[in-house]
Amino acid sequence: MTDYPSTDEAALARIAELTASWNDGGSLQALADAANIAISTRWSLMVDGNRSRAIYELADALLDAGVQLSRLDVLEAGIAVLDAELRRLPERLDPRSEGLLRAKRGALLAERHYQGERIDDLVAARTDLEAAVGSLGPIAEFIDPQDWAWCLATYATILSTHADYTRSVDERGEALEVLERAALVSGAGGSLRAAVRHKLAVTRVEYHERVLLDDPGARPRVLDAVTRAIDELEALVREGPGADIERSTWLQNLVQLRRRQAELGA
Amino acid sequence: MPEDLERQLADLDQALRITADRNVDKAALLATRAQLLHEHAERTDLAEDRRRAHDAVYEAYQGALGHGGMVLHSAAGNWARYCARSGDWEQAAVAGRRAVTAVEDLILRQTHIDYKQAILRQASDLAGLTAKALRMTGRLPQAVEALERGQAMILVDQYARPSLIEERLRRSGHADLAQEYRLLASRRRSLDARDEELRQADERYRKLVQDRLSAIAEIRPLLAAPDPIGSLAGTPTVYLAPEFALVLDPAGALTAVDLPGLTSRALWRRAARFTNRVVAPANPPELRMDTIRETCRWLDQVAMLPLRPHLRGMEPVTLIPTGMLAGLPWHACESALDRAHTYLPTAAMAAPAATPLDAEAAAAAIIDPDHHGSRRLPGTCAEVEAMRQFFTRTRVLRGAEATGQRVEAALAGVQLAHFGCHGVSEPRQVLEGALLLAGSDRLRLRDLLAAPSLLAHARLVVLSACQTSMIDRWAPGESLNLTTGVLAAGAQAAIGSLWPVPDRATSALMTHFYASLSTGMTAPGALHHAQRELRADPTWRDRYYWAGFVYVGR
Repeated sequence: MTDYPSTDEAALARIAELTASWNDGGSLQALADAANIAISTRWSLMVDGNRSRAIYELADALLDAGVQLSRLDVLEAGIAVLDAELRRLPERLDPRSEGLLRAKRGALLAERHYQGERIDDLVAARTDLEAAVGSLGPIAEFIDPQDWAWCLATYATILSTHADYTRSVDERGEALEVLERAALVSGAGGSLRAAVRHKLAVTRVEYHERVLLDDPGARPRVLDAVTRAIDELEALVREGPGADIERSTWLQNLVQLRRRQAELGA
Repeated sequence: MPEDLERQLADLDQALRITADRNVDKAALLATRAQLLHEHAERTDLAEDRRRAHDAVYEAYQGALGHGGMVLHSAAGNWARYCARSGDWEQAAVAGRRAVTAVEDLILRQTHIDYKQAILRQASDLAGLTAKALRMTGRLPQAVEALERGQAMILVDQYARPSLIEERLRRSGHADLAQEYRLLASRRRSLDARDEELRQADERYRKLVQDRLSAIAEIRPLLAAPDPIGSLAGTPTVYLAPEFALVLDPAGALTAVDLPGLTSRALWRRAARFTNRVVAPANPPELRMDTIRETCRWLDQVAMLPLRPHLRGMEPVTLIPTGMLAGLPWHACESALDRAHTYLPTAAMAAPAATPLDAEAAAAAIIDPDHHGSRRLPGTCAEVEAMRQFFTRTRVLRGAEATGQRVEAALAGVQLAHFGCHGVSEPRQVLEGALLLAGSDRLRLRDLLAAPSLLAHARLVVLSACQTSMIDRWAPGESLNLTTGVLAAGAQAAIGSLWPVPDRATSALMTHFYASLSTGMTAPGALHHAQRELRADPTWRDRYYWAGFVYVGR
């Protein structure tokens, strides 16, 4: 049974403690309790940057748990926590918090789409990330570069996934452009940088493959993109930091890229 | 085993080791592994390699069973194909059904019709393979059901079945429930609602169906697997599928006819060529003529000729070409010319056989609307004159009069509607396919689907316009076009076009059509007769001129 703290400070501290407990290998119950506190507490302030940050971190942990455990209900808890916080925030009074929270909600919706395959989740995710990138862009210098890089990378991933359905070359191109921006701000190392490198390599291939559908003369560019992507992914597999779930994706994509390289006759 | 394949498999094995069992990525990894081994086995054709590939495909299938959606659809489809190749038809049928069910569930999970269409475009057409597997195990009625399940899923779920259910509720004395059901069915297929509204409407709809409708004896059969054979009673029907056909005679007996030349591979090539050369706009007539001729020759050889002995004495014959067989001119094959044919996308869209129209039928003709930038259609005048010779109560809207608003008003309550106008299709945005009206107005497929009572009294709608029966080659079984849109809007039957047909030829055909109709022929018979008249005329002898129009309905 969740123990509801009586003050904002106590509630925030408890949420942070429970979130940290999950991140340190604790149980899912900790996140469930944290979510209950986040939603049910009668917060005294409308705008509270610390609260928004704590909820952002909690939602991130719920996303992580939902991905690792393949649990839709965990993702939905994350979405509910963010919905509640976004409803509290008056529009545009705290654009930084609002932007980051929407971006995180978009990521949860995108993962819910991946697991549940409802396209309306993907469309909602795209709306959230588009809004987040739009509102955070002008104040990017005041945001942690890792958060900003993560927003851009997530947005690009969603654009790419949406382009799988629409087959739109413009959307693929937009995804590539956004990823290139993410690469500029994602820093030199770390797991986010590795994720951006991977996504950029793969998205370049996807973009050129799409162009190839309309222009058979694009074949050399496809082969070039595939070859460069193989080099990049081999480097990542050798030395890149990344959780098992990411490494598994790198390996799978590497296999598919080598197949494609063989098909293209390299 | 080649070194690069060994390296690939080693990478995949490493990925499998670090991926949690329940994660959907694991199923995708197993599928990739199966794909590699299958391709290798195809190259070497060695028994050992084939065995390894077989085991990998099975493992991928087993791994996908805990999930759903496209992962299951893809893995089950691959396993079904493997079983079919080795002659294990029982397993092929089980896996095929799972694959079709996975995609059905996925489609039902989507809110908006555009999203449903997007899923269909990604899915493989496995209904034909599943039906073949059932046919090979002697289960012909189940084979028909399997073919039906793969056809017009969106139209059936959102329009045909709700219409039947609502009617049955009213007839069984549940008027209030019928009203409530109608409202929810309408909200869940709204084309303009937000996704969240659609999702909520869908949940409420399902709850109503589950909690209340399923308890009503008269309704329960409509919610379960539909009975296509029952709904086609008395109508000679041919289901066309890759490598076989199922013939349903008027007495309800089902016969399977093998068509070994009608392979999926050959069909895919032919259908793609047909779409690119005949259906696509701006191709020269000679190219269209040659391609139509060549296609009909092939269809005759692989299907219509072998079917002919089984159709003796039956007319008209209803054709249900499934999956990528849709959109081809089966009726124009040499051995099919001596009888009238009708088409249906699915038995679920079969209204009771349309009764002949009499001279007193309320009718409307929308002729040569003055659409911005469009070429005028002088030939349509002759069409409407032929129509008015017999149907004396025809209200005509011509040129600038044929605005959207006036057309909608004119269609209210009519039993016969004729559109002599330009038609446009949008393969990537199916709902935007439209009949061009006056000014910048259009009657789009979207508009028809949003108004399922617009043509509620219409026994026949004639779309004397281009490309109104075009098939989306990415999702051919869905048959979402203006002609089926007219049926979804309540009409019992429609005539539409498979390709752009020249004005003068269309005008000649329609003139003959109405002349024949006025003698008391049924609409399918009148269309067949009109086509025969044009064939006999040296000016219009080529199929390009007379075979483009098809009757859709019973």
